[in-house]
Amino acid sequence: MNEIIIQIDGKEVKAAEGMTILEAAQKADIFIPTVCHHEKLEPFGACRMCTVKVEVRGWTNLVAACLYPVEKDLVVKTRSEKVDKIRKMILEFLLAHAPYSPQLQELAQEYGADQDRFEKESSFCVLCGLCVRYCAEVKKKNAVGYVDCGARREIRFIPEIAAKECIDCKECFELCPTSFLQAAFVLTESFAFSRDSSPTALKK
Amino acid sequence: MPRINSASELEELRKRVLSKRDPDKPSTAICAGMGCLGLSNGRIISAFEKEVDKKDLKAKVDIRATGCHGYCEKGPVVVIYPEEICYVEVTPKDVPEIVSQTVLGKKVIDRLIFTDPDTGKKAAHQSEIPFYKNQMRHLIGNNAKIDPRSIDDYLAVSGYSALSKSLFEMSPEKVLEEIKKASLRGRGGGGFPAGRKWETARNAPGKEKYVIVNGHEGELGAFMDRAILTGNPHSVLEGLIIGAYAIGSHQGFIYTRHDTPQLKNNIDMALAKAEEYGLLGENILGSGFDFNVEVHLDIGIFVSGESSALMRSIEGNPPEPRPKYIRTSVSGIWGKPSVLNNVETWANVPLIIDKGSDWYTSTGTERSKGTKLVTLSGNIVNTGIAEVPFGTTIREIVYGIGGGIPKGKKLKAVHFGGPMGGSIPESLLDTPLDFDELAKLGAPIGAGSMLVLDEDTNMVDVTRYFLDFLSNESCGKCVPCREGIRQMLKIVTNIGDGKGREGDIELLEEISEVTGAASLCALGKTAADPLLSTLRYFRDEYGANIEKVKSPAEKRD
Amino acid sequence: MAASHTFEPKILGFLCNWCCYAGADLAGVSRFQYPPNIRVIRVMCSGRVDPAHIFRAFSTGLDAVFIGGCHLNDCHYVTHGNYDALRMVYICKKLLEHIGLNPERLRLEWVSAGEGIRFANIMNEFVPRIEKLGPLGKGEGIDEQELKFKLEAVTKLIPYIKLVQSERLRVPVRTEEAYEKFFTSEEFSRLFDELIGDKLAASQIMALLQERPHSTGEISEILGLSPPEVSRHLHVLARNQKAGLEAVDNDKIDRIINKHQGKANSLVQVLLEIQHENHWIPQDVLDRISKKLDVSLSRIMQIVTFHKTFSLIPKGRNEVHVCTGPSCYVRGATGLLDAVQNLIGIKPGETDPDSKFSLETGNCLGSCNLGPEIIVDGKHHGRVTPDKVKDVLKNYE
Repeated sequence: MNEIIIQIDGKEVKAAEGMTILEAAQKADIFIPTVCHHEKLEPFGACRMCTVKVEVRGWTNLVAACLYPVEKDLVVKTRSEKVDKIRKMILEFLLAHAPYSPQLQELAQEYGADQDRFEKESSFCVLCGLCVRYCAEVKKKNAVGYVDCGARREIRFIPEIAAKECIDCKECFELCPTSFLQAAFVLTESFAFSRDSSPTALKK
Repeated sequence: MPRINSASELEELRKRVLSKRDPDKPSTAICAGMGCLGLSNGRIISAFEKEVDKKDLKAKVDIRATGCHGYCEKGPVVVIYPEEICYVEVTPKDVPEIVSQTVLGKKVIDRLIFTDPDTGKKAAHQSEIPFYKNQMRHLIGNNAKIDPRSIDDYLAVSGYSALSKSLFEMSPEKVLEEIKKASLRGRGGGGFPAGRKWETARNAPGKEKYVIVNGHEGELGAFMDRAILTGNPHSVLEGLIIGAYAIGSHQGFIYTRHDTPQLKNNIDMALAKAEEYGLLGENILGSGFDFNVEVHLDIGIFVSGESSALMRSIEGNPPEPRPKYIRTSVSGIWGKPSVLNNVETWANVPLIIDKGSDWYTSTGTERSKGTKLVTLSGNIVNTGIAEVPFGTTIREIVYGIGGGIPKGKKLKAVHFGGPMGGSIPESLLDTPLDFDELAKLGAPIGAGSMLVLDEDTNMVDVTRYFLDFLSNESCGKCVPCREGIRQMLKIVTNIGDGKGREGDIELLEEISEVTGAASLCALGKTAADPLLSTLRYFRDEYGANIEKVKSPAEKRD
Repeated sequence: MAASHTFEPKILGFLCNWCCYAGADLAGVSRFQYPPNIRVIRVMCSGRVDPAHIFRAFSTGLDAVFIGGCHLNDCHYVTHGNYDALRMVYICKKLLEHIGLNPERLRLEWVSAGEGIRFANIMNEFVPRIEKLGPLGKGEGIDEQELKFKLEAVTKLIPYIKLVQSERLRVPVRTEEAYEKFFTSEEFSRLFDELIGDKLAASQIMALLQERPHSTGEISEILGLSPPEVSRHLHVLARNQKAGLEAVDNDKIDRIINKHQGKANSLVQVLLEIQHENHWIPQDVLDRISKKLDVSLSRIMQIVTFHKTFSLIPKGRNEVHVCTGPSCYVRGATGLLDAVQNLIGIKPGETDPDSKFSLETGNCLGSCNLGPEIIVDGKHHGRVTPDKVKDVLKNYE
């Protein structure tokens, strides 16, 4: 693995070939906020909170740090007026769905996001995909997946698989930044699991 | 039919095909494009077949159901050769008369030829009709001469001679050089230099490489790719094989729409015939070059026209785009270098190889070479497909070819690029058709669809329409696109309903800045473009709707 | 609405240990008279009362539920449980309303330990009120079977409702006014309808389907929902339908699947072929595809729900498609669509109750010269004006 030297916020950082900017930053203890990222999962690039400004080979661009591979002479800025603006608005979008998520609230403080900027949406899922990806990549059960697309996208459990696998697992529950995952799970349970099973207290 | 095994065998076959064709033999070309099909031209084709049968003229007259001629507004269109007499708006009842009077009698039937709605002047020959006269029909011109189910028709118009030349007279590097010199730019909307894309793929590590025809044509109002792919599939196939040869790929994919059975059938037939003739498959024309093609259908969603989403769909996954930090020409389908080009781009390739890059670059502007197919739709007299050289002004296209606006209305705007494009107002109509010129004005040419809008159009409503479309067709993976479009749609709808609030326009501009900068793929990045272009040129229409709320006193008066 | 003279309402009361229970006790000791219809359960805090308790009470035949707690801001616990009770009661009242029961059957009052007389007064007012309303269900004109069915549907949903309540329906400021403002606001109404009301309808439809297959028309009649509503839910719940009423050519479908056995990459093509052949994809077919092609069911579900191309429920005999591309749009597609909707009585994405027509709007098919147009079963009807719609559709069976 070749070593590549890049610059993050003026600091020289040693990274290995094949690393992403986020990995390199984490190694150097430089914080970049994320919502849909998890160390056990493949980077997804859906929330775009990790957008950073990069300069390389003469051009500047805004890219997702969790996916952009490091390269020689890369100059990264994790904060700038544009970057902060983007992060603030992303938070405002997400807060319209889940205003009480502790994780989002914390980030909102940092970026001055106003949770009432946009009209409240009923669905409190932020579609970070952590649950879907965890079940697919780590547990390999695919009990929960996406349905629909665009603004109608949702996560949904597959009842037969969930009935078999989830009762003893529920490892994805703690990944959810809102508690929509639990709500979706109990909903599936009440609709579709066998009629004999009674909806009892679910938390492990 | 034994497979052709050398360049000379191909030329011999071509000579044989041509020798069997008498250029003076009367033939009728009945347009079987989508537009004419919808006008029941099926009945006209069978009427011709019946009449020819009845009069026992099978040996004397050729009946050919061809690809789209382009003049959809005046369909069903029938052209009689060799005189090239063009009849428009033909009905089955006219057929017997056409056969006896024109095909056999060489007389023109006055009521069936084109009449200029403004001057009343009649034009019997295709080359005299303004719609056709003002075009440069390098690509679509052949449609009228080819039955897409016949490979011999394509050979008769020197089809596959470019392939033969590439395989036997040029090295892959030479072919690549030629495409680069021709400055062929992608016709699907990106305008990216095809030669550079091919070179990246060629130089990328790995032996397995793929070439793909993007026949998805999701752009609203664009139907030229379908016209070429349905009407002359061999031209696209030839371009694809030449490209594969230049890049070093042995597997190709044609990705196209699932909702048009005629399209799929014609492609399947073209592939089968090409394989039969030895122009596809193993050892093409005896050159030692192997190449195979698979056809894949889309699931119907707009986002699957995006190159990385398309590749995911070919892999059997939901069509979700991925960020292109590593180009698809380096890592595409299954991580292998994949070159994706639009149908029209591929169709240009045989032309460039045949006639040379010098000839090709003599048409067009400084940075946009060659011709472009455009589709005219909306509030325009002549709906259809036209082919013009880059540099033609929009005014020339709308009035010279399009025939202007119906019902004597004034033109308000011309919208390019569908939901990812922009509108230009009447005052900028003398802009030349050019990738960069139009992009500068905020109305990138896209795939070439020109939606003409008249003075009664509400531009806020048009913006709302496009945002509504995108909110359903976005994949929904990334936050800026999914949520940004959702919120922009809400605000624009409110403005349209007269419920706009102060600060709405500033908010819209802020949201479009974020979606433009932070979205994962081009759909999100350009989602706000129609909005931004209407704000740029038609800002007062927004303001008027917001003003309504601000001054109820005015309302009372 | 006179209730039977001999009707004695059965009321269950949850009284909080510190205030209300003590208050009721004081009323008893002070001999303040009130009707004996209330059975009391002592809870430590009014916030302890769960929607499950309330609906269990109604399910076992009680006619009303009373909750008594400390006055707001006087809760004996730092968690201010009485605000939770307030929130919970607002939501439960809306639920009761939603299923057709009078929300007055659920009552929340603040009574302090020293307010014995207040407690008696409340009871003296509450019991006659319930007497007037009549027995649960009968008083609202709902028969026993239907009542049981509706209460079951709500009860099943309670774990979900509790999560929605705690995560989404919070009020950030703890004052009576703020709570009242929020729970009487349009925002709450909308959130309730979208998050809970919608799922309630789905829950009821689910219950019907688990009994036996029902048609859209049947469900619509039983539940009092419009056919388009039912259609929308059926699409989502398709996963849980028992083998339907439609005959399916399984051999043809199996042949398509077997052609691509083991080839996960052909997933999209297989689904498209089956959709084209059969016009919809039954659930058990998805299961077979999952097994034979070795792909996860969640991936298949994502693809089939990705776009309206695929249908998981049977379509009508004729598929009507109104083009809403931009060219047709500026030429009047909206007016055309309205005419079609009015004639057939359904919205895009739905099938009419007789399964004659399925309506869809869609993207540009590239025949812009025909705009605005309707395409029925693949046949183009171009340049149609709203008044001609009837002629176009009248010949379809």
